[in-house]
Amino acid sequence: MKRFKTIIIGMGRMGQSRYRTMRETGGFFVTALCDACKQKLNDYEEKKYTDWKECIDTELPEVVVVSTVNAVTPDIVCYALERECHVFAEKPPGKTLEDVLRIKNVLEKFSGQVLKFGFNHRYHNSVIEAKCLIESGVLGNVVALRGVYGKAADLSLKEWRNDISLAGGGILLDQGIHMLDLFRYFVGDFSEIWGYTDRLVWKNSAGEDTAFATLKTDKGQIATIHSSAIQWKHKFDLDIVLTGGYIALNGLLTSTKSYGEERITYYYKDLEVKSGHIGNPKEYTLCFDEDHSWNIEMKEFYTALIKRGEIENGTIEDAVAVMRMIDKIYNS
Amino acid sequence: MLRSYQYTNTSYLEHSLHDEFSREYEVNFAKRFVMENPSMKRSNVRCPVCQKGTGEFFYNKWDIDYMRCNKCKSVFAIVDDDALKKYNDSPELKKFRTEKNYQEMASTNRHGIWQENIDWIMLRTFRFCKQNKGLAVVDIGNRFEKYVDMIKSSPLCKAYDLRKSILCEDNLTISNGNADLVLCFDYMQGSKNPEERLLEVKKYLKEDGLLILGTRAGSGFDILTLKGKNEKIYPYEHIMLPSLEGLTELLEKTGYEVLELTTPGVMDVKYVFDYKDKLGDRETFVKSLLETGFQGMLQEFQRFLQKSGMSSFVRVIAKKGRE
Repeated sequence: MKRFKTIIIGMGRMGQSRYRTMRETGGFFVTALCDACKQKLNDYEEKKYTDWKECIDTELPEVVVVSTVNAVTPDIVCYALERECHVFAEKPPGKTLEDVLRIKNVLEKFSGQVLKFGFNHRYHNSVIEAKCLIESGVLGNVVALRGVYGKAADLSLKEWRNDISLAGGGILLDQGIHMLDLFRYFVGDFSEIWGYTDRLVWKNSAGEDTAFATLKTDKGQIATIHSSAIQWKHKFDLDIVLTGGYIALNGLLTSTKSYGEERITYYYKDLEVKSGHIGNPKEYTLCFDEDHSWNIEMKEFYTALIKRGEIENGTIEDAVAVMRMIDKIYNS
Repeated sequence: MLRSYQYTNTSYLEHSLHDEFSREYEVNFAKRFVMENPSMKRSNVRCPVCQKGTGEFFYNKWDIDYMRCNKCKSVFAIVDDDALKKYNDSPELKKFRTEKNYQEMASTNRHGIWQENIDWIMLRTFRFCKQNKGLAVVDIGNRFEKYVDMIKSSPLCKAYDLRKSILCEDNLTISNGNADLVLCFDYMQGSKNPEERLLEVKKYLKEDGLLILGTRAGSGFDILTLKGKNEKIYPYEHIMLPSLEGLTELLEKTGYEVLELTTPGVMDVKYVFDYKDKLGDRETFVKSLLETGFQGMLQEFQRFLQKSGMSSFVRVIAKKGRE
């Protein structure tokens, strides 16, 4: 098995998670870790750096994993691509649409390199099942989506997500981006977007930006999102209305289990009341007790590296499109 | 392995899959047959499912001993080969089950469930193969004409072979190693040697082909609760009731990759409910639940069983591994 010489820049929660997954996947040989905060590297045996440029220039890795704050992500991704490294970077791909367009320009010059962004939700079991249900056509065509993604966040805390100069946006950019990516994953691009964001509780914190948005595709499919840091409970719900039925994704299996049990429920349109209960068609629910999303995501990256092939999910096009959606919502 | 749970929102407390006349006939026939063709009792029998543990006496039904594996907890009956073969080949039972009346009653009672099952098969086949139309399908042991017609005429099938069925001689249009999908419902529970059956089925499948298997599980609620009092489980019709653990182990041993394992059964509570008066003192909790529980509560309990892998109807999707 080919193993790629890899470095990880940014050893916060995501960097640690990628580190574990890369070791489990087996196709990566992590030689060095980098974080501006030296203490975060204490528990590791790999070579340690606090300067990311020095880390890349000294290690000369084949793969760079970028798990840093949004403000520096584009600089590191571009620098790594220019040194002919393959790159796996967390979402969001920067603070702004301009950031991701800058990355796109660099990637076009280094088209032999593989670049993947971590839109991890696409690999969750419920999302895989929903995609399969939609593609199988058994429930007809998607006509509408309704997503709620919220968390209980203490926005008074001094952390980078609450600092606009580092994060570039609030909950919509940090978490709502996943829901918007799923919307695109299920129905494609949106041509019309109307949004509204406001600070409803944390008046002085950039982290809130409670967002409501309505989006429409050229085919007339409508989606609405409510992205919230003031849900006061972690919550993930996505309803998909189809011409012949309905799909609901509720909860999301995470390491903390704080988004509840991950479930997908679907039912067929039953206007003839075959179920015997008006307005209550027979429901089918799948619940999942294992989260393989991190491993599947990394395996897809590895496969692309080995085959020098196309990235299926988390492409630069996905990243640009979703940042364009966010840009439109913020500027509505 | 993706382990998922599936459950529905429907109550089956008022529902029956069987018409009383047919069920009574089948049970009476089996009872008479077993009395006339008894099997030898044996102890220290190795578990035919995991092949690691030993069967410990679990209960006796019509003088046939049912054992429970001390390792994988599968339940199996001690039966003689000759008696089992004679039962499976019985012209009287075959005649009864192929008669128009039996087939029509089955169709009336099960049509909805069959359609639901076909929809589910199409969906899961798409999930794991990315295609669910125009497949080469081998159906094993199906004994219902209407169900066969429904599968055959569904978009699922390009070619369809029915094998090991009382309805006809084996169809052999799909050569070994060319089936995209093998359907194997209620076939394992009548076998003394499940490993042999799984290996036989494997021969039909192409590489990465799918096996969809449904069977009664010995780890299910009604089987563990009712034991010998369970009128739905009897020799020589049901002699092999693997546990989920045992079944998974056996599939992996015989060269399958288990992709999904669910217990979507809907009848466990109903079966136990029907015989609650016969429950012994040891089943105080269950008896109390069934006597005092209102319909919504019992429905919720059935859902809990489905979700927890504790219903006695198990469905497995497995992929033929590469040699």
